[in-house]
Amino acid sequence: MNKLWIWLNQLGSPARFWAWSQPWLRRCLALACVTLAIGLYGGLVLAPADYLQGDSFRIIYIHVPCAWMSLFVFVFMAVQGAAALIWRIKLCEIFVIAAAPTGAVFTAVTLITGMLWGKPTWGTYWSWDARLTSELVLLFLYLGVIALYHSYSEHRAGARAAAVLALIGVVNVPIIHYSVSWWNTLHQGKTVSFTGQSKMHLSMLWPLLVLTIAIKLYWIAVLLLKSRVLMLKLERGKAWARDALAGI
Amino acid sequence: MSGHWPYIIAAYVICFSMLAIDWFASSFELKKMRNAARMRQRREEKSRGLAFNDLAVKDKLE
Repeated sequence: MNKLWIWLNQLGSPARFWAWSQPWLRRCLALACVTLAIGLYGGLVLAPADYLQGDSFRIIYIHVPCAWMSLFVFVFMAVQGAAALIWRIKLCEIFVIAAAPTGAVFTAVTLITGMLWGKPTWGTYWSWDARLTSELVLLFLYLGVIALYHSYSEHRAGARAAAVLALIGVVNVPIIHYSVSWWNTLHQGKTVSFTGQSKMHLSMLWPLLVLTIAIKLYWIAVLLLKSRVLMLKLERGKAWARDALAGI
Repeated sequence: MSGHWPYIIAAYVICFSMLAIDWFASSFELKKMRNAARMRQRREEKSRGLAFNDLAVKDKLE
């Protein structure tokens, strides 16, 4: 346990993070490509069509992993934001800022793919339903975090303000998650359960789980990439950053 | 049921385009920073009277 704390403490140093992150970025990206190919083949070719929705249900193979990630990334930002505010760890501040754009992309993809699924299934692209509206609020929160950070000229002040907004905004995550149980919504209830019985047949479920892993691996790779870029920008004047740029 | 495929294709194209743009935007930024660092290094070496080519020639002579 002590060794783990020492390692985590050392990883907080930008120079060490730079060296550590490069191989992990490549591994995650390679694994994401492999799992993505398997998941897409399973979802678009092997999985049978739904008896009610037909082929339109195949949109869920990108809609659901992106929706899960949109919530996960915001919780990650809130946790990193809390660590940045309490312990003033530079790397945590960087993670808050680096995670926000990809989180916004996941949320936008969730909304767009949901609309494209809604038209053939519900007969409409949009409805002011609790799940859809709270997900739209999440997109605005992501955009708010990004805008707030860029409104400051000094990085650390901007990152701290963004961390506070992430901590306040995280209250929306349980609202999104439980919206289908708390209110009578057009959006369907929980279909996949990690603790109980899923309502999906295994032949349809496995590509969804593989694509969820693929999207998560992609997110880790893109987070590392964005953190490296941001770190280089902030530490430009330092010797390690000059060496790192010369050695890329 | 085949009428659903335009929606499916649109969803997949939009999703992967957005994820690819997100990735390449950062990757391009890193490339831009690397090029700027190389230019700066070249300028510094020139100002010291040693251009890149001169250094290569000097290495070969040695």
